[in-house]
Amino acid sequence: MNCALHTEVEATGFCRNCGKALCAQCRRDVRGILYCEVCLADMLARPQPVASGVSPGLAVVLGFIPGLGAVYNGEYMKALIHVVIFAALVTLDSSGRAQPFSGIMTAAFIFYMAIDAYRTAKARMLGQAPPSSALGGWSTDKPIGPIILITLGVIFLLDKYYSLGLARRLLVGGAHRAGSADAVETNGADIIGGDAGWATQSDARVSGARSPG
Amino acid sequence: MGDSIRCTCQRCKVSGLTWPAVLITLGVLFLVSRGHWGYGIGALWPVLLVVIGLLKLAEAFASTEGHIGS
Repeated sequence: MNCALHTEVEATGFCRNCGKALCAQCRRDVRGILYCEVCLADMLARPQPVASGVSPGLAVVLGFIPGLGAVYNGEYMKALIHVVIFAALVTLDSSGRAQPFSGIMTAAFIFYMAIDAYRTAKARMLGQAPPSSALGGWSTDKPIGPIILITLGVIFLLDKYYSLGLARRLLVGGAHRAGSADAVETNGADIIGGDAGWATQSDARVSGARSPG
Repeated sequence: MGDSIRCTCQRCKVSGLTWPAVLITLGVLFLVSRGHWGYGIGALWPVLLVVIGLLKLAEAFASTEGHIGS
């Protein structure tokens, strides 16, 4: 792509504000961020942002309630992520199998949300860009947040998978198939079955669904 | 007028897909939970974490070339 002004010259960057292609002559580098001269002049002419009605104190209080601190700062996706992670941690906590790890993680996450809400609100109050997340950023070059989300998701899926006993049931189902054709007929729902009680309900449901046909 | 310009850089495009993807995932999870596969929403909800994580990961690695705005 060529420069928007010098159309015969190859562009070497884009203005962060208006997206215009810029050649080496047109680009204005401000602490590593490129602007065109027009945008830079507009920014300098613009009055400095005054403190908005954002209260970091209120943000930190709301931050203790999952998702509410982020909602206060207008970060709705982050709010959803906070709520989902909190729900995941509480679920892990209530299972009782991961104590005291899950309890400590839940407590740490509550304080993290409050501190994150405070930092964001303070930046907004000063008219600055929101700081990168304490987890290393949700969308920066070090995407630690997304990796934690995926890891948590996979752990919980595996946890559900094994607590439902699917692997065990599949193995047992395989053994039945190997041992007796009748067993396969009677336990056909093993493939989607879970632990003993759960599988019984499932078997009954599937049998009921199949029997009319 | 400048505020109405919508950024079309890769990162902003991926970012804009997050909410629709969350809604679609929730819809699919509820559909599956109502089916006869035996999986309830209680067993499937971690899929939502994985989907959000993957989208955020894609957003992190997406190009910001031509980004408009702060």
